[in-house]
Amino acid sequence: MARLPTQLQPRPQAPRVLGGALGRRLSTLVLRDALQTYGVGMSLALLPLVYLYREWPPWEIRDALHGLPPSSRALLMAAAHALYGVATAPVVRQLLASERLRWWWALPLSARWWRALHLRHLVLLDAPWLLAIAYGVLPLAATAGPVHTIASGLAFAMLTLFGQIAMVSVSDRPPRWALLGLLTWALAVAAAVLVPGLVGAGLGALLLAVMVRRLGQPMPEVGARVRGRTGGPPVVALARLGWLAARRHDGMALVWGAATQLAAITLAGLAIAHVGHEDPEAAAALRRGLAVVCATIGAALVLRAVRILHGDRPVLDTWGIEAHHERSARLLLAAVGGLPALFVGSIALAGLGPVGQTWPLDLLLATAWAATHTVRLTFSLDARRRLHEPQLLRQLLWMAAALILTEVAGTPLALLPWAAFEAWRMPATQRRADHARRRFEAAVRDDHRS
Amino acid sequence: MTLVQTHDLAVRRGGVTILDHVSLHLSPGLYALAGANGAGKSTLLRALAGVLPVAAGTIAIDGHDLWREPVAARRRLGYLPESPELFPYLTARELLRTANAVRGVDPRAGEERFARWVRPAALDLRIGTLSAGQRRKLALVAAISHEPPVLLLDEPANTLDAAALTDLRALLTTWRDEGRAVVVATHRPEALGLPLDGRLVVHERRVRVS
Repeated sequence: MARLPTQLQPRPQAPRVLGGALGRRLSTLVLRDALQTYGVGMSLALLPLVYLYREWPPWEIRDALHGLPPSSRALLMAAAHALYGVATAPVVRQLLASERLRWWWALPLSARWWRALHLRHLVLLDAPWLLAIAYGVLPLAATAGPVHTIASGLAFAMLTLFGQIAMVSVSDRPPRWALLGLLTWALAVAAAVLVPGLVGAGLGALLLAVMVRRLGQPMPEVGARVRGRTGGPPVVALARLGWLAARRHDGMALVWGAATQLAAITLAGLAIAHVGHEDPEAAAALRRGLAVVCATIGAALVLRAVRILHGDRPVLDTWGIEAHHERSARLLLAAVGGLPALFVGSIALAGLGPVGQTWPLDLLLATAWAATHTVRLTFSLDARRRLHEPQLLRQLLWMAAALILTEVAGTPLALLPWAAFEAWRMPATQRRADHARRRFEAAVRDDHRS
Repeated sequence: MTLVQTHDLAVRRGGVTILDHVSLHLSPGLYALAGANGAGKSTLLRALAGVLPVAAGTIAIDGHDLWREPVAARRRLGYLPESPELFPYLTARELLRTANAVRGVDPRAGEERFARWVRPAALDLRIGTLSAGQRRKLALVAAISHEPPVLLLDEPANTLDAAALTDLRALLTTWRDEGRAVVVATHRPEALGLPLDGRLVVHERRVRVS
């Protein structure tokens, strides 16, 4: 480096100290990014766990697992790891391979530094899962001894990290590679259940070592080739655009949204089955509440899609979109978010007698409210330049208000005046959003010229 | 003296081979990297900068293997991506100082240039509030602030205003005379107004040097 006369001379420094400070700073940025992107989805997905805890406490699950024959236990453990892998894949991808992180790869940081950073992020993300593993293997200490117990726990922990890194490292390959990675992970977990603890730990260590080595290089970009239908009438085309954006940019959030609706239906269905015959009024109240919850979760799809498409807003604005087309497209998208609840709820609740048969109507009314409310919210947030701020608490509060209104009136029809009010205010809010956007973009252009 | 050397480089993206059997020996000078849209110009620069994994081959920057000696190699290069993705929560000053600290150079390097290209107050603005052009200027300043022997610029003229472009042109010409290697990906090399020493053309997964 001394060959070039004007080059700045490197200053002596303590690399470990700098690396630690930089690591902390970068960790904060990466975790903040992940939380902002997936925080709402994670919170919604974790909510049903609170109820699951009451129905099936962890000690009961653990005892049931240890009471199973080894082959069944291996199958269940493999399935649980694979499910966890699929559920956490988008967050892991964000932690290991976000485009914002890619810029930092051009800086002189060692492979070891990158490995340590990535492993720290993964361990932070997986902390509850790793604690669950530790809790799950504890009873082995009494029967197989402490060495076997520790080795088994380490095996599952190492295989978890291996599987997550493996899934990201093949993300630019065709989907069959991801499937292969998932199968390898599940098979290794099944093997770790069946073989002695030390052998399982050896297998986990070997596989993890290969993947940790891979962490010393940047992860690949996501595969770009996908197929999707486009076109149609303006409203359908715009709604489809939002759907494609949400599905491709944030597919796991959609899966979480649908899974939360299904979990809510399962839990409410169980409760209705328990109280339905004795107290039909309480069962009907549960059904109405369930409709409001599912509609709110479903309508959140439109907020997510609008946020993702916001970066392309200047381009969309040049297409000359009719204001009423845009409103209709957003309403359509919000309604589409409730389809999983409509299909599954219609089937699952129909078997519960008369109390379950009005589910589609309840959901339709609740969706009318949730869709108009959420779509107006998207315009309102855009008008106040707050589209990207978290709205979970606010949405939960509005949902609680809708629940109270529905229960006080004894019917979701009570939501219709609210929905009509939202629909009446929507065009004015949309005009405010358009006006604010034009003003902001003009300011940015002027700023750039200066 | 060879500043950038690749041997049998292959890069795949999304299961498609973008570059194959690319062997380059770049001595000091100014090079234009040309090619049709989607030919692989940006991919080549990303691979040379070490932000994209390569499928095969080796890359050496100023004699240091990019993957075996990543710290030494990356200390000697600066890279401007075509669309810089930067964490929006940092301020421009924080980004520059962090990059400079990692590279072990004066923490304030580049601040004066950014203040001149944008405005002094912009140094303490969050990156998320900067315009696209200002973010690109920031990424460009971060790429050159440590005055590296090897500079890889992806479409640097995009969104730069006339004053910044004139400044950059003068800087690159000086650096060429000092013996650095500068590779500039562009569709219109002549529009840059730079005294080019060579041209790299990406075509059909190969790179031809002229």
